[in-house]
Amino acid sequence: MERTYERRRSASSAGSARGKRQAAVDPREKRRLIQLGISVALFLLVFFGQGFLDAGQLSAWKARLGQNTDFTGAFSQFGSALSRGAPMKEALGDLWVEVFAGGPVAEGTPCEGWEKLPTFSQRMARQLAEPGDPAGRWAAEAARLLAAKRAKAAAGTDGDAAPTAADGAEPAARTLALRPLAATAQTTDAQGRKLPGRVSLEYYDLGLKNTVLPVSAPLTSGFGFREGPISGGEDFHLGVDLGAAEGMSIAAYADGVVLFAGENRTYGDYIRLDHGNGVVTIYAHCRKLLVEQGQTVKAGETIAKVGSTGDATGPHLHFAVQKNSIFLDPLHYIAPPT
Amino acid sequence: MRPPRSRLTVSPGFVVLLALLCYLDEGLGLLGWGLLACALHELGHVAAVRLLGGGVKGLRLTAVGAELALDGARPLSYGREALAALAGPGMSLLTAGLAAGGRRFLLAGLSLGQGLFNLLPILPLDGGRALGLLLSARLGEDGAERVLAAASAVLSGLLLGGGLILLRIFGNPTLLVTAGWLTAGQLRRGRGR
Repeated sequence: MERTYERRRSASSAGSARGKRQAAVDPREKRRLIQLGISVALFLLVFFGQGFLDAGQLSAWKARLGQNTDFTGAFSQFGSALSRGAPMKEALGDLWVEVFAGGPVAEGTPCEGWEKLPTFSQRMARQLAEPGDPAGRWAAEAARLLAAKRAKAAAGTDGDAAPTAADGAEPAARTLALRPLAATAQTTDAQGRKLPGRVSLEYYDLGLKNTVLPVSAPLTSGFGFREGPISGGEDFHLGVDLGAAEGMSIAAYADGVVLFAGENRTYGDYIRLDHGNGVVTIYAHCRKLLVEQGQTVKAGETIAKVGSTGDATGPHLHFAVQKNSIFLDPLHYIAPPT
Repeated sequence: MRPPRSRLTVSPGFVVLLALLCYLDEGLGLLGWGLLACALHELGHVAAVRLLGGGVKGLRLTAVGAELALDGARPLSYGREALAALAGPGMSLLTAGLAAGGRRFLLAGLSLGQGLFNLLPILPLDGGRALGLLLSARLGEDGAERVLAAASAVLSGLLLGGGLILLRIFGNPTLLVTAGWLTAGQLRRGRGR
């Protein structure tokens, strides 16, 4: 009400007010100056007092507001599409998904009220934590899983993923059961629990010829529901944690192009590689990045060193696999260390 | 004669928005590049207005964006003013190309995003303004304003709806906030007339 009055007054008396200003400060102008002063003080407080402001509840709100969306990564990637010569439609689609449809960079997606059941990866992690022969057990389990997947894929019952035109690049592969399919998000897991957006527990053929285990290290946290190590609440871990020592070399999972090499609050120093076929891998919490955005890398090439930057309780590699922007369980796609 | 007004006006709302973004960004990493992209964009407008024979009276930075006040003493034709409106996105696209060439990918991405976003035919944005000016030549200013205001309301309504859906599905408020910001710009424009 007050505002409309003020506006009306400003419209009608703009000329006379201006004339009087030289004699005395217009009260309206004075109020504006006070408002401006307060907001500038607020800005300076935020600018210089970042560290002090980040306590408890405020921090949680901030994470919620920012949604862990990696704007820097998303826009850098979008910008690099220009020099990579990537089709604009595809680049725009990626930007849209990353900015508006969930933050791909959130290491874990917070969720509440889920009954906690171990996923395959977590069962593996638990087995690994048990005394005995963890590496052997991982190998046996992985071999069993792989055989089951091959059989399933050969039978042509590869999930409920629909084939899309984008993936029909190889005509010869069309009739083969193992052709790469576009990944689609699942809404619930086998136990009927609601999954966060852009996640699938299904196995997809990534269509990559040569793949490498990024670091030879034990699995310390699997893909799926877990208790957040930093937040303490239940969240969905969007990759696997490999408990490698600080400074160990991280190898590129497969041939590809560096989509992004830079920093983020959650991931610390991290790298995103594009391997074609819509497959992207993420390497987070690095101590040192050894590649630049836009650079081409070979499978097995050292791209970074293990560290504990970002939200990490100790040195490890957070490794995530995406296909068509959907997060997949990396354990489906990496062989255990030998 | 009017006393010369300060050319750059900053509203308290703009400073508050800046403080909020600075807080969310934890410094100026992203914000700094974003502001640079915006400054270059506005520079595109100003340069175009000057080149086309008009004058710029002032630039007002508010929470809902930057407003360029043109000098009424040297009016531009509808076509030329539309060209000046499109010069901002044009400058952004040019910046994006140059920045990508210079491997400044963040600036390139931000400028490219800004340029394309501003071409949307929604009113406070450059695309909407250019369309309005071109329509003004045929329908008259009031007619064009009515058509565009209605179209903008419908489009931002759709975006608000989409934002709500994305918030529900992914818990991501970005589109909702963006659509809200666009709507606020329209409301402000409506009140200002």
